[in-house]
Amino acid sequence: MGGNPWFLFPCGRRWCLMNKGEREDPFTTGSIHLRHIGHATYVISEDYSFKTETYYRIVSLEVKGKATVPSSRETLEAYVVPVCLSRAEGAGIPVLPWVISDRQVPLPAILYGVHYFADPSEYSVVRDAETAGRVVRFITNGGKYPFCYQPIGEETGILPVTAIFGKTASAPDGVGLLCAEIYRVFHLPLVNCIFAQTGDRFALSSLTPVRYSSLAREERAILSQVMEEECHG
Amino acid sequence: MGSLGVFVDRQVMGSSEQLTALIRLRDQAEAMGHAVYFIFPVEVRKVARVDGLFIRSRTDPLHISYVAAKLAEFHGIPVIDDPVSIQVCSDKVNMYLHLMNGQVRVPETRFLGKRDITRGGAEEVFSTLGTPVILKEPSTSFSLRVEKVNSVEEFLKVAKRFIKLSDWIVAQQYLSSSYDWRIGVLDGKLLYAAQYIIPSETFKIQDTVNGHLVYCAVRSVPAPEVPRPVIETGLAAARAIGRGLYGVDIKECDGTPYVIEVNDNPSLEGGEDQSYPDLYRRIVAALVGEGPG
Repeated sequence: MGGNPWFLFPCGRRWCLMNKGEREDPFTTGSIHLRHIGHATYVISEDYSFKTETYYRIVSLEVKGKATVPSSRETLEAYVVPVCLSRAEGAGIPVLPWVISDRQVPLPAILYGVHYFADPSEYSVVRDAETAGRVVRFITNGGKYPFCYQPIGEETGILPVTAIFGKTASAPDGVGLLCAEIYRVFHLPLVNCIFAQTGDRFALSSLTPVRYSSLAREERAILSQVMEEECHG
Repeated sequence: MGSLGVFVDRQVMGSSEQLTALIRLRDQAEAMGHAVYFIFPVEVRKVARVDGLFIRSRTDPLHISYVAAKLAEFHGIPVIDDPVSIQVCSDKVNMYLHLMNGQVRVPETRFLGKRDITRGGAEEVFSTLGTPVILKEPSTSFSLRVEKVNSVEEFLKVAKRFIKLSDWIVAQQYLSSSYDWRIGVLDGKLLYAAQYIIPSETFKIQDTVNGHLVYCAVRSVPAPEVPRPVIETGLAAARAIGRGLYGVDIKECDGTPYVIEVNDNPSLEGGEDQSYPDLYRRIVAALVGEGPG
């Protein structure tokens, strides 16, 4: 797999595996950070999608019998929307209802593709029939695949919240606890939690990748701090 | 009496061969005293209502079939294909990692990342794997995105196309044969064996040649006529993946069997059961038991 971009460096009383250049800017686009804590390897990345470099790093470790956080199973459960919501609901996390359709969609709704070419970071909030028709044609590849819709109320808004090991920088009351619970279930160190907000109620709509470049200063501080804490165990 | 759900989509129901196979499965299940329900993608939540689920639709972790498998798993319902089998078999990188980890003989295999898709990388691959080389995009099914390349130029052209779809791709030593063995395995035991006779126009079991689809011919082979090493290799390959239903493709080279791939959701509509009349009964029994029938 080309040159090895990883090296060991002393970190407290342990050795940590780090990516070259990490000391200057640890969170460069596409960088993957491995932390060995106890018997598990924590894999910190922007994107855990199927068939990405991160996904294959995780799979390679698992096949060798190493425990990873997250596991490849958890990454798939997190990013395939109906699976994510079923899993989260089973763990007591409030979620939006979801329906699989091939054409019809009541309005307003949030739409997701469910197929090989679907991008887990893409969702569409549709409030009128024309937009819905256009989005459905796109995410179903012209009707070839089914899609997932989540009915929402007229007053419902979308609240994306970045969770770093389940911690958040500035989430509303209650949402922080939900993010902590989401981490407990899916174990994604870095994830965008897409919530539907209706008044003071929040329901999970999906989990999506996070770009390091989109992290606010406070969120970067949390990420650095958590990684440092984890390293020092 | 149990209820067996069969998860299908319109592509499957639109194929007369597959429809015939599904009807035979249904008839067998009903003869065993079970009720059979076909479940379509838009009804995926009905998975929770059946006692066993048989997925007969293209499997991939990003497809609705995976949702069906996971829902069954969440509800504790026996399912073929189970989510782990889908995850592993629908991804050639994951599948070969499992096979190699299980000491199963496969053709010489390399995993290539973006950094390897260079002229120098291609030359290195040819020098270690020989010429030609087989390139595979990990999510290939029905031999799609499996290509034979003979030169650095061809390698770069195909690899650049595949690497857009996956951060790792597979490069593999080419093994020539006029047929593949297909060893069907269910729950670690031999279910059937067949020869897939490769059309002379191609090296794949299915291909498009001059705009026309060409398929392999299927010859169901009774177990006693199958070389023992081929069966043992098939069982070992299945064991490296899990306890589900698999179709293991094997090429014999100088009498040595090599596993080409392990398919979850293997096709059953090509006459694979001709020498194995209890094939459907065993599948139904694995999902919902022998029943009162």
